[in-house]
Amino acid sequence: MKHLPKHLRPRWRYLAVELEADADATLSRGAFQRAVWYAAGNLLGDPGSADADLRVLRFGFGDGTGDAVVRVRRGEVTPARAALACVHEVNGTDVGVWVRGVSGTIRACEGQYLD
Amino acid sequence: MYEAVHVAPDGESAAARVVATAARVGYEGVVIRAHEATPDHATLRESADVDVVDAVEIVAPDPERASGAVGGERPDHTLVCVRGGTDRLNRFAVENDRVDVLTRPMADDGDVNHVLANRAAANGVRIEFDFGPVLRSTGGERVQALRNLRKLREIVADADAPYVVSGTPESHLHLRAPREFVAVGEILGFDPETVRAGLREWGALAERNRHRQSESFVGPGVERGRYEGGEKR
Repeated sequence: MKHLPKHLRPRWRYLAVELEADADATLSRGAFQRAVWYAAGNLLGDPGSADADLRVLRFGFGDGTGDAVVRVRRGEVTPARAALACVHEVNGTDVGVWVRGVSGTIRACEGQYLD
Repeated sequence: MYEAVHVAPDGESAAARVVATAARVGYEGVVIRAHEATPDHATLRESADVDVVDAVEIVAPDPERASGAVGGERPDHTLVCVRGGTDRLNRFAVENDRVDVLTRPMADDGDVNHVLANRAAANGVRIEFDFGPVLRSTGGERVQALRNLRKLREIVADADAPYVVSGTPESHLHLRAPREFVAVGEILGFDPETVRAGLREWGALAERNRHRQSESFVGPGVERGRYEGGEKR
């Protein structure tokens, strides 16, 4: 399909997320993505979850700590924060999730908050 | 802003780890609500650059035993919290002005009504909004917690009772940042400023009690020390 004209394309915000779990835990992007969707669905409901449109773009995890970039629609950052705060378990392992900052581009998000 | 935490052996993580995590995610201080834990507050205060408040949480099956514990613990700790959870315990806590905070009032069989909220306002007992079940439970249990939180919010607002906000973290992984609390609160219908005030209240309470326990304090408005207002004749 032909791509949308610029003014119709969705605007995004990118959340830099810090993760922590037990040192021997193994987390994958897919599992974290499922946990985020599940938390958003439960807290915001289907319409709110669809509006926020949370997606995990970058993900890294090792030795009990990690970080991720989560994409969210512009204007839905507060509900997204709330949904991420409710992620307490991924695949049965306890995780801590903290939003370090919000950026308008992935590069700025990684450059400023994840290094 | 402050968060009131459980540390090992009440919770799962060591005190130093919880305090370090709280400092990293943006808290100005940590209230360690100890039940059986005996953390070394002085060392913790030195190692982290956040305030560490010495608090005790009294978990008793009935008001008779809680009453003894309040009397015994009051002189030794900055904050005294009583865990609610039954109507009698909630009643006891809000009737007693030596109690600072009534925690988890809606847990288990506990309930709060306008009478208790008015008594809490009269006695200056803070009622805790426990966000823990919202953050960490699912399904029917969570729906119930949300319903209770809404009821409590309406009653507390009507009585203008003092309150605190906490996520009752039992490990360092349960800690959430202040902005996250504000965001969750907004979804639940809390005013953002209400949530912030609830997180700040722990600090204000600690400061008030420290002042009261300091040597210069004689009574409200009466201080021991040099006369400071105006010149001597």
